[in-house]
Amino acid sequence: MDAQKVDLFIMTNSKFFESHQVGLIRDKLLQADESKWGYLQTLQFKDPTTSLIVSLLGGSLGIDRFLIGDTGMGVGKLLTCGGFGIWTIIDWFLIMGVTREKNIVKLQQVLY
Amino acid sequence: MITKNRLYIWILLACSAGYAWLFWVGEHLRSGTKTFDVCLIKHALHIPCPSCGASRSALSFLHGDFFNALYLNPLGIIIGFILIITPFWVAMDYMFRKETFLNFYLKSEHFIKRPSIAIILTLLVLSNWVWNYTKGL
Repeated sequence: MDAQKVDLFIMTNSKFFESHQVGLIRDKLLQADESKWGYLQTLQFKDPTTSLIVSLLGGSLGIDRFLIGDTGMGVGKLLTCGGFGIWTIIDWFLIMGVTREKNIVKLQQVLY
Repeated sequence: MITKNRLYIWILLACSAGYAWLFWVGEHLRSGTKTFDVCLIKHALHIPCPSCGASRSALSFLHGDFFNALYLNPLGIIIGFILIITPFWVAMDYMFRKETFLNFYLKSEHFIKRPSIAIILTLLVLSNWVWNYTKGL
């Protein structure tokens, strides 16, 4: 893929991924076929900051987990008052990382 | 996607915590002393959350009092079923080296994500929440 396009992608989307993954993503995109560019443009990533805000406000009901697509975990949180309140607090610290993990999985599905 | 080991360990830990919690709540109910509220919504807003009363409901269900469990919180019955079935299911999967519970979990996730089902379930949870509020749990 064209280096200019890859750099544009990285500049606009780097906040959706872990910082240590950005270099690897750039390398993979450079190796990828030009035809993937169309798919990449249509991908919608979840914003880690949004999931943190949702986690702070609706974490007890599992809404943060529902938002990032972890429906099973969301149901678990909803049924247990946010994991007796403990899971809710743990998720305030974990949810941004989990969201970035989900985003990289979504990107991998297009690249491979 | 979640892996088999991660899900099974997670489920076993959650069930162990659930049984420990129910045992502790049961002891307090028997002795008549009050347990502390773990619900953040109840602490912050002084209103019950959709799953408040689920511990007492699950305890009633495990003691065979189905109608009291249904009155206290219908979600407690679901929790009771999960607590009874999943440890055995996971153990059977480990014994026979299968992934039936993982497949069921993934299929259920896929099913719940369908918009029509999600809307119905959300409405049910919201109506249960309103019911919890009117019951004054």
